Amino acid sequence: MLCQTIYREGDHRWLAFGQDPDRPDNIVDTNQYVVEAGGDAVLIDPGGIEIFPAMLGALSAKLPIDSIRHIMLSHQDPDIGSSLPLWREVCRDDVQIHISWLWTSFVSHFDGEATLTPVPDPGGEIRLSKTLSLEIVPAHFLHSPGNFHLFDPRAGILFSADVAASLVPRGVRGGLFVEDFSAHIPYMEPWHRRAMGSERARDAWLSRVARLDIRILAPQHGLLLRGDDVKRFYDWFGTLRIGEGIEAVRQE
Amino acid sequence: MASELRMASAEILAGAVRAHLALGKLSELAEDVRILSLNAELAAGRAGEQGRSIRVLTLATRELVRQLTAIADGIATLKTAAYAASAGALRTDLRLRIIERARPHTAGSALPKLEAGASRLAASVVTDLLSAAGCVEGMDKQTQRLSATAMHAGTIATNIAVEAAGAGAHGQEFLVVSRTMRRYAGELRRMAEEARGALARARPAVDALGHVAFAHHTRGVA
Ligand SMILES: [Fe+2]
Ligand SMILES: [Fe+2]
Repeated sequence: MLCQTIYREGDHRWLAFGQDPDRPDNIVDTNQYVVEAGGDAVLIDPGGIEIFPAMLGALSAKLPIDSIRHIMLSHQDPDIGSSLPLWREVCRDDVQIHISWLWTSFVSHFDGEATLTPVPDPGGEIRLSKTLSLEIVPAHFLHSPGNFHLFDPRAGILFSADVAASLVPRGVRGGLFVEDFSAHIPYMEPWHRRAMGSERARDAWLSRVARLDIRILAPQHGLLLRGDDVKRFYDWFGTLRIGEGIEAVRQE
Repeated sequence: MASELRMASAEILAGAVRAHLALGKLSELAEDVRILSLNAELAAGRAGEQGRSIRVLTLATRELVRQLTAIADGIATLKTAAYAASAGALRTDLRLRIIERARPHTAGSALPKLEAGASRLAASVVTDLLSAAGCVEGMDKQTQRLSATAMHAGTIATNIAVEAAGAGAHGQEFLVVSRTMRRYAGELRRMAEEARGALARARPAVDALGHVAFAHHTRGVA
């Protein structure tokens, strides 16, 4: 599993894990993130149970496992957190697991013994160090009806879960970031049209994130967007026809 | 889990499933015995004084029905518990396999934690399998009770036949009851034998599991 530092300032850093060359093709490619500050860390969307070995290997080479104080699950999907019971085997006992209140009893199907911290619909924060608080940003119905993003105001990075996600074939990827936005659209469009359920939800999210100073948009699948591509994404997503339900289903 | 554990667990579950299948018609048969007992009581009532000793025997038949129903319920509960324990072992085993895959990649302070996690999970697999084995042993006890009940049903059938001889005009009616009861007794015996056979085949696995669990325990990981 590849690991890249996408932000570093003193003891504050963001690590992006993904593009595992050994990942079998039948498992969807995912990105996992770690934000570390003041010696404490949050692991964001740790991934599915099948990628746990590679992910733990990559993570344990970068930071002491006990520094993970928080695990955040953006929503309930198996590619987000079916590895949770395994992480709990290796993480400290008091690791806090944040997930929408809507899904606490659903995630218990992966891990019946986990103690979960329910996040209320308006969101909240994860206080990582004395000086750094990460903002849990509501993103309901994009795609999950109980869904959160995570914003780091100092790094200017928004973890955007399945928003801005792309399915880019292995051979096409040059690096971690999108280099040509127009060429990248075909890898995002089918997913957004089908999975994003509501234009009103999209518009609410867009007006919410417009207030944030976002330099990097870090999705759970595919390439990250930075700089002007963040704005390009807002423009593209803002006019995309979504919420069409069955109309977005491919006719074959 | 180690391959020997995996095999033992498969055989234990197979024993529980086969025994349960063999006893699949037990509740139905208990119901048949209940109806036969009711009919015999009615016939005894019609026979008046000549049916008195038969009436005493039908009380024994009622008790038989109660026992059969209790055995059928007990078996069903044990089977469900055996499934639950096996499913728990399988789920934990899946996690254990993934942790074993992670081991060679894991570095630093995560490694001892991973190993401690593996030990904990292995111990939980053994506990679940021992509990499944306990269910199989419980099922075996229930089938022993069933054999005894089948024998008892045979004795009641014989006694009804004896009483039928002295029941005059009603004798024929009681003979039919006796013959039906004998047939039911035979079916109960066959069921019990088949179930015990299935459980006996799981016995080596139950014993092997006991040894593995003991070894596991003495290695200090349980
Ligand atoms: Fe999702
Ligand atoms: Fe996803």
